[in-house]
Amino acid sequence: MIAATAISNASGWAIVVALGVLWVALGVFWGRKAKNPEGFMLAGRKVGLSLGSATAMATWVTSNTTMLAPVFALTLGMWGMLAYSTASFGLMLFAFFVVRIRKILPQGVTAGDFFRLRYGRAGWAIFLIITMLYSLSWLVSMAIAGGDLMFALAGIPYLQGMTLILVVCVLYTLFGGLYAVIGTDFIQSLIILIGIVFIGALVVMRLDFGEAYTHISTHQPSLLMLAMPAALLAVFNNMLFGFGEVFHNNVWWSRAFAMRREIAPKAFFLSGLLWFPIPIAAGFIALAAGPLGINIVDENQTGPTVAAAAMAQSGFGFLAGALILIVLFCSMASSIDSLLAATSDLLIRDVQEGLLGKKHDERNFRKLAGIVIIAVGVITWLLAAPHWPIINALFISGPLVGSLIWPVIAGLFWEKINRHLVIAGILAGCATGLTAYFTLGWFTASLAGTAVSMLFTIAARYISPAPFQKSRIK
Amino acid sequence: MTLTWEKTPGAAIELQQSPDSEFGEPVTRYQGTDTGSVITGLAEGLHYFRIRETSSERWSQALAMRVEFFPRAKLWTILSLGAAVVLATIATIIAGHFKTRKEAEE
Repeated sequence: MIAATAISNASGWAIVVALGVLWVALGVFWGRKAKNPEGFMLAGRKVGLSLGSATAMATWVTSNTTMLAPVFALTLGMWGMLAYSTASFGLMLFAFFVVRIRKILPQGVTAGDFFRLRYGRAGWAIFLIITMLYSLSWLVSMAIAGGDLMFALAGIPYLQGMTLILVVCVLYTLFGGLYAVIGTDFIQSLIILIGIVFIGALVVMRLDFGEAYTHISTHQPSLLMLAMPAALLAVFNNMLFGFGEVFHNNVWWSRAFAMRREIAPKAFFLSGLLWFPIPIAAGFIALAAGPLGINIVDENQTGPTVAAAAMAQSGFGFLAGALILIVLFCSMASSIDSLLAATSDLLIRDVQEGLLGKKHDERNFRKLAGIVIIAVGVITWLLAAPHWPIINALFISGPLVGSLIWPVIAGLFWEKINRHLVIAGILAGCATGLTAYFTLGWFTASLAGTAVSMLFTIAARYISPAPFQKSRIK
Repeated sequence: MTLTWEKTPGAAIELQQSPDSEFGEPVTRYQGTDTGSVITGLAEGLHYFRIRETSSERWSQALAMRVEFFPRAKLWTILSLGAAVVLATIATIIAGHFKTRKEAEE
């Protein structure tokens, strides 16, 4: 437990329940706008620039950003901080995709629509398996991080804390659909930004930069090295992992379909720009640990530990636990709700309609959506309850999502392709990336997967290519 | 890496680090009542650690740790591959965007 900052068990419950009631109330309020399935799943396809960029930015600020970026900085130094920030390039590049996505799939609903259209049932089935593995491991890792955080900050037992966070997110996603997700994301993004800027400013005020440099170059010289091998490798690997995550996942595709067509590219680009400094700020806070004399006992709690100690040293100790809990709870909620909504859309649209061939009845849609959201929540809870080190599963998914980067690019921008070769490339990329993960290290896996899939996809452009199906999703 | 230790409850400890096993030029890495410390950013080479309760003069046995970086030849090969894949990916996306945008305008 972070003793210096611990808030009481009752305060922890009170903060999360109060935020939970606020999100659920807003969810119910915004949910009234969702009059039909399109309203519930895509917020009526009318999301504007400010809400659009805020929801994309907030969704990308996950518990991993606020918890793992400091670990990257603490273990990989300057390059580690930068490596984490490169995940924002995925959002910026997705801006180039959006126009094309809306042109190819004017009435599209999920990323599955694209894969089904471009790569047939086989490619679509592989996409579904990869994306469900990735989405579930992302969801479960955040639920686990939430439970851990509630225990570290407030002493709330893991299972209770994890359940509380998950129940709150399921409830407001259930009532409001994407309207609620996007609306709450906007507020959550503001809270996250204000919190990180406030804590970062406190750290800057406490730090003598000359002394900090001397301290780090004496005690942690590798953190300042220009050629620290693992850190340099992490730059490209993380960038490609981020590309893979954003390019394939329905969280981003659903936003591309939900935003107003003319503002969507700007919104994605802006969200990437807004997100870029967040891991650097979170990482900087961690790098200050040594110079500020803060001992890190648990690597995974680096961010909260340093933030709390810096606040205590600045005379804000009484606020520390509460502020950190609020910021981290918002960063988790803004991603969990988006994943719940996007994964349930995928299950309804792709599995129920696409795989099982059942058309959804508009009258019963909300009931079905509710059942699926609750089911995804229950599955997440069941996987998070044993407290497995699921974060490893998320990292292992790096090469899997990396293998989908080039098939997405080719499907969007090229006219002809050899589908079978692309699908073979996805499978070969997954296999090579996983091998690299276990033999060379995590910092090579996404790169290896992407490289192999890229070679197959480029070859598929020249070896027996066939035109893509022209028909559009109705 | 994370160093952890057992100590008398409530006792303060001192953790020292040195480049030599005799601790000729020791550096205090931590002093306090925690029962562990995450050590990062060490330079390549051998490092030694030892610990004592501050109320005692008796040091623990030294713990030796060797830090080895990824082989340089392998590093530059993978980095070159990484740069090539990332550049090819970004260039293909931007080229595809402008080509298809032009088509749409035509």
